[in-house]
Amino acid sequence: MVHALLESWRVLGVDGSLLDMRPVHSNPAIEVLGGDGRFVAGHAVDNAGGADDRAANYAVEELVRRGLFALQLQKRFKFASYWDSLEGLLGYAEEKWRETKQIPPDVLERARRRIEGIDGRYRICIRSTIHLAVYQKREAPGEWVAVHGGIQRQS
Amino acid sequence: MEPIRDPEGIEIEFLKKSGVVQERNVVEIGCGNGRLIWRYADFAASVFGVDPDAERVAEAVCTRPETGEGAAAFAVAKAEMLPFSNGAFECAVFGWSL
Repeated sequence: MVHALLESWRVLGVDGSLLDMRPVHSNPAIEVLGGDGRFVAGHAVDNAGGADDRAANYAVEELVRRGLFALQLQKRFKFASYWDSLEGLLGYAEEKWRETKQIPPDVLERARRRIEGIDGRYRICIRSTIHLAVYQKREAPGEWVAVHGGIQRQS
Repeated sequence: MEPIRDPEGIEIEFLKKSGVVQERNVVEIGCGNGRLIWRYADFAASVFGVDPDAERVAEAVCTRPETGEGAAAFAVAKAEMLPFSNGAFECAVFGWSL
């Protein structure tokens, strides 16, 4: 990750911007929308424990420590994903989440019971928290030079 | 089954508010299937998406929305060895790829 960020530094011009936008570790709520409103059946469990977040944060902070980027702004917002059926979500989860996230059986059961009580169309919604940060490129300290694949210390 | 993602447009609203892609030459590193690129291509000066997965890049090329005037170029490349010269871009985006 640090190497990818170094390479982005190389291809940016003077005062260029680096935008880092990604979902952060969370146990997102599983909502059933329909009938008389919004019902939170429970939360999915994120088994990754934030390891990806920590690795990405470390990589970005490393470049800030080296004086190559400076933080300009940081925000968080919610990002919603919708499925037309519970089976749709389960199919997606089986294919994409694998071991990283799980939906506990009691949450599934509550969602199913709620859906049974809805007369007509419903949707399933999961809201993720997204981290957005912008960094401004700084000139490299004197002993570093840009080379293809990142930067390296002058010999 | 793929979900419908962010129909409210909150993600692109925050991206616009950040002010870093409007009228700028942008490279998106790890662009995947182009989902994000096609949401901001309309208001960037130019957009180049790179991803190491050739199949996802092919999908990105094919999923250009029929509406919208945005254009984007794509390349199959690793994030650690980009096929561009020094200082070629004004903004580098890591959208869900770090």
